[in-house]
Amino acid sequence: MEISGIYDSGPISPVAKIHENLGILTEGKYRYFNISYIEGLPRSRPFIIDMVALNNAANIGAYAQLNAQVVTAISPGGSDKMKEFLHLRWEPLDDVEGFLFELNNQGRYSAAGVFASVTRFSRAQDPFLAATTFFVMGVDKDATIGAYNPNAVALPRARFVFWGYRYLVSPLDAKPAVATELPATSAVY
Amino acid sequence: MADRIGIRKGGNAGLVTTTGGNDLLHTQALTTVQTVTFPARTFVIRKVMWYVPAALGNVTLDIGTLNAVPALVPLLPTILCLAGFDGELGEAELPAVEFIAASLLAAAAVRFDGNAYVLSQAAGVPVAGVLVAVEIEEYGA
Repeated sequence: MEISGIYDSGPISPVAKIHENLGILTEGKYRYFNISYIEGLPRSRPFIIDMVALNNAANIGAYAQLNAQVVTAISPGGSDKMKEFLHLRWEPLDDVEGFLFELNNQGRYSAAGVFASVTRFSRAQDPFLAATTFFVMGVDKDATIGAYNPNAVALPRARFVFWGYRYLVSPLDAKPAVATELPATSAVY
Repeated sequence: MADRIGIRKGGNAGLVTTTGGNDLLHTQALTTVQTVTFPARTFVIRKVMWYVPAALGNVTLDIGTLNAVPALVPLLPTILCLAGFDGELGEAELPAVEFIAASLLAAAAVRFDGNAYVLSQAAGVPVAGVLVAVEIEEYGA
């Protein structure tokens, strides 16, 4: 088994190479896939989403939270034979906190009863935002983002930017001899 | 100890035109954990800019926070501002006074709300019409 090191402090890089195997924790257990293709998703304007706009809201109120399923940026496609697998990091551009949910109700970055968030302060301790790494696997498993405004005043925008890699993976029938097993994906339960 | 890393932004009251009262420049960010509310962040004023319309005459600005009375408690020295002039004090001139809300158990005179306010006066009499903006650095998470 290979160790992925996805949370190592450093710039984001692919977790494996083309034609290597991935073990992805999804739907309750590790399932195995072969990578057919990888491409980069550079940090860029089309990968900025605004939670105020997605909620058709006038603003994000003081100490208020807005949630939305982020289909534009972080919804992978694919089919049963070839699935898209997204490997992303993210941060807020405005002074809001980002919460991540996968399958809408599975809060991520959590201890027993507390959910951590990605904030404007995150980069100070984690310059490449390695701890914000998350994955979205397959169809109908888009991530949901929560934006919380920790300020005492309403803010006009709550923007987040995403960047990372997109993989095309084919499911394998059996566990291969060598695979990079990822400790986290969407739908951990 | 290394400096803490904060985030810089304008005071969240924006550009303030003083009213002769205690005018809000920046409101503290609060959080509530297990039903207890406390300041999630503190802040330090890094820049103050002002403009005094000539008709007002020279004015003074007192910048501070409110106690539980409520009364303004100046936290920076009084700034003398000349009529018809703009002016600014930057990070090099300003003391790193940290604005933080006090515990509810603190005595009323020092139970600060932690927000930043400005009071403009001419010869000791409150006066309206001075333009003031601040830049702050917030600490916390």
